[in-house]
Amino acid sequence: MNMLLLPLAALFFVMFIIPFFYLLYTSFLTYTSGQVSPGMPFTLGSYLKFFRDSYYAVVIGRTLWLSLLSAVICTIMAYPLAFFMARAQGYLKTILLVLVTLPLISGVVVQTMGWYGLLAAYGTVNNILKALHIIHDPIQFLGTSSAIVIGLVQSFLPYMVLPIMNILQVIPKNVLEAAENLGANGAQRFFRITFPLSLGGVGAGFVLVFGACLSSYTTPSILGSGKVQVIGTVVYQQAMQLFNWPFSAAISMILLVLLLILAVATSLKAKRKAANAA
Amino acid sequence: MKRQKHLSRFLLALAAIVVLVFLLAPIIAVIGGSFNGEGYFSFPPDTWSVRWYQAAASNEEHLSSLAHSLKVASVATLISVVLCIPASLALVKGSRKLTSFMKKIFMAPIFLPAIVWGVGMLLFFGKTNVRGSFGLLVAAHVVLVTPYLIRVVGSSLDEFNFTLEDAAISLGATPAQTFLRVTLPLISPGVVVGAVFGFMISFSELIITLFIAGSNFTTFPVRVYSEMRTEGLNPMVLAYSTIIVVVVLVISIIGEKCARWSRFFS
Amino acid sequence: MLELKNISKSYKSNQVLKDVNLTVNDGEMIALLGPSGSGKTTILRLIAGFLDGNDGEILLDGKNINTIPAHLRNIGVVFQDYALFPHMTVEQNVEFGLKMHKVPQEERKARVKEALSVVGLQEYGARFPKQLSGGQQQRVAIARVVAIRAKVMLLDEPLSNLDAKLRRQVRVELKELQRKLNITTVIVTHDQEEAMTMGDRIAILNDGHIQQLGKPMELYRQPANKFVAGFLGTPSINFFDLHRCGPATGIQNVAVSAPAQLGHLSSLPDGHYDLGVRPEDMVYLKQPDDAFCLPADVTLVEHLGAETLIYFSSNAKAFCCRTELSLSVEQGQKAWFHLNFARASIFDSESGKCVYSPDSDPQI
Repeated sequence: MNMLLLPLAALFFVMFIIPFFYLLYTSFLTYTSGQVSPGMPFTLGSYLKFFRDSYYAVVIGRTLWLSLLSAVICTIMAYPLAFFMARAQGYLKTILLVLVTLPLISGVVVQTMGWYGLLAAYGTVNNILKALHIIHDPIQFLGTSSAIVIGLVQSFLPYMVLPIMNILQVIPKNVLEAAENLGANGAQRFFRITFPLSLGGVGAGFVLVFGACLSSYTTPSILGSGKVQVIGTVVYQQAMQLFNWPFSAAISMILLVLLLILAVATSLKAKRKAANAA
Repeated sequence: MKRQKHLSRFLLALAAIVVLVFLLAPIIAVIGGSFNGEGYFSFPPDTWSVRWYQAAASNEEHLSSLAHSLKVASVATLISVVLCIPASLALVKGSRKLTSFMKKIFMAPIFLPAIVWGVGMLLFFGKTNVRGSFGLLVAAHVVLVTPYLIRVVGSSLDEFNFTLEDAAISLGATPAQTFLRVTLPLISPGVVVGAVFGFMISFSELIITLFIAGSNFTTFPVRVYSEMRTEGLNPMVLAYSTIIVVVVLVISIIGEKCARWSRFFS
Repeated sequence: MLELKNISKSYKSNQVLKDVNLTVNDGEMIALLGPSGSGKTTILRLIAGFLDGNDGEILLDGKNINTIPAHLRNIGVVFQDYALFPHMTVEQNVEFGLKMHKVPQEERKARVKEALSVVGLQEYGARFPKQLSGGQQQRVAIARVVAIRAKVMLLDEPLSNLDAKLRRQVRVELKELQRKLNITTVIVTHDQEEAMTMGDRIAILNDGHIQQLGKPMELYRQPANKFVAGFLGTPSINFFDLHRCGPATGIQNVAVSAPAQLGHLSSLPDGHYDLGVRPEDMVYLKQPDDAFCLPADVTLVEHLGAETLIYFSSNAKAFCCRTELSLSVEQGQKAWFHLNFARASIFDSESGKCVYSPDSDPQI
């Protein structure tokens, strides 16, 4: 029976596991400018370059900040929609679910195209602002961190809405009825019961979105127009444009470490929560 | 009291609509912009026209990139189905420790950054002679699509009544016959849902393909992305995207109504 | 003929079956009765071939089938949840086994028809399982077994999924069907009523051992140990403390003043025993009389219509008496009970083994 895992496992080994280890290996190789292939000896040069050059510290800091900001805004925006959807029934629910997952399945390229058009100097948002006489000259949204945050929040909203909706749906109705029976009004029931019980889903969504923002490439690349660099764009640039493989690999490893810290912190928190509940 | 309830309900619905509009804003812009008569992006459109759809129907390069995307997606999904069905069975029936470990591995592509995976593959396969080949791209897409298939098929197997297998055996069926005549037919709805899911994920994938596809084998997302970086927005591309969105919408409605497939997201 | 010889089976250092021996004669219906964890389901799965790795032999008509894989044993199983293939019609379900046994198409059609008419479902061939009631689904499951002409039929808790009313009806139908087909059958159940009514013989299991094997009334009247005595019969048998010391006999610490009534009890050697008296072998008295009467306090009275159950306590132990008279007994009243010593079984207090049971009723 276990043998049935073999073909898929073998494919994963070659296509997934090995490339990550090869990347780790490459991060320790020496890069000589002008030479496409890095070589021996092993060195920590790439990592040192990363830590010495303050530019990259700024990039990491910016990525962390933008990701945090996006995750927070995403949470705040997702909650009302998730709440509404948790109460929806029948056809309305189905339509809402389809609409919420639509951006996910149609792909990040379609989303980014749309934002490009909306936020461009000649784009929709500027036209609306001009028509309302709020501004005279167009605002340059593209190429700013704000544009990236807008793009990230929108891209990952479904990943936040669905977990929150799911956890809200699981709260037993009779718990709320008991609260009402004991004298709690609507607001009290929400803040004292519903919201605390939903925090699990909020947390799960937050971690998911935060990690996805840290790892993102397409949205910052298009909406940042090359002017705003995040970890993802630096990795791409170093690999595909500057051909500094070891450095690109080193940054990738650092990104993985950040995600690992996030994962460990989350599971520790979960374990502590489980221990408290027991 | 009643008024307060109605007011809060109204505000909630309002907030939900605002968020929903924000969520769908880019798609609306894409659809709207595709009907613009002029050669630049404008939403709302300055003039209304379907000329870009006509242009889209005959643009060789874009059509061939669409064909490439369809090819990769269908082959990758097919291979993934063939590999994931036995793997899912093993995950349900196999030894506990091994299966929980392997499950984490199979789900990993969703959680690990595509950009890192892409660079890794680029470097590892860069010196070999498979780089840029169709086979390599398909292999990568199989891995990409696998988590979705494992999730969905796994869920089908969780709902499957394994006593039926005992019944078939007691009536004389070999394990192979049991699988083909009883297990497979009953999990095939799940397999189909997973395959459609995976197909769409593969079709719209950008980053991995960007790294390892050969220069003469661009897929649609890669082509659109490259054009956007160099030339900006082209309404014809919006026309293609609108068609894709409409197809995705129709399939999503069917998928949600028949199989509630939104539960498989995260 | 199905034989189980010295069957033992362990699961991860837990021994589930300990040296089980059983012979099922051709055409006989045997009930494997026992509480959960007794090993009865393990025996069923061993016979069917879903489980292996046992010590001992399983013989079908003298041939050892231990090493024959499950799909080649031709032993029919009717599962507790019937396990009908939901994606096939009733006809296709019944035909399935025939296809697997490579029966040619012509013959298949005929045998499917035959099997369906045996269970009375001729008209239902084109229906799907979810369109059938529980009882009908069970009959399709049986038809599947009939069609392949299995040598042995195994039924796993056949009545447990049916509601009470249907149970009595199906009980009778299953027994009739089994007689008609004359197929060697093993029923696995935890319900003693099911076993008593359906089994030609019952094998009571506990803790991996067969406690007793025999006809239902034999087990009822002459239980081999306290477990068997307590398992059969509702309400369950009463165990009174019996103490013998020389010429003196005490029951529930009440001295028996007239030894003559004791009959064979007076020849028991000294010691502590459990006196097993069934609720229906007791008589309720409002006032004591000259014979031995056990004094007690009535704790609860249940009027069931055709009979009355009187629950009472004596010396802080609870018992039950069953009588057909509709009496005006009330909770809290004092009562006296005659015990029918002639029908009582006596068990050793420590080992639980039966040291005396009455000769079998000539009417049985």
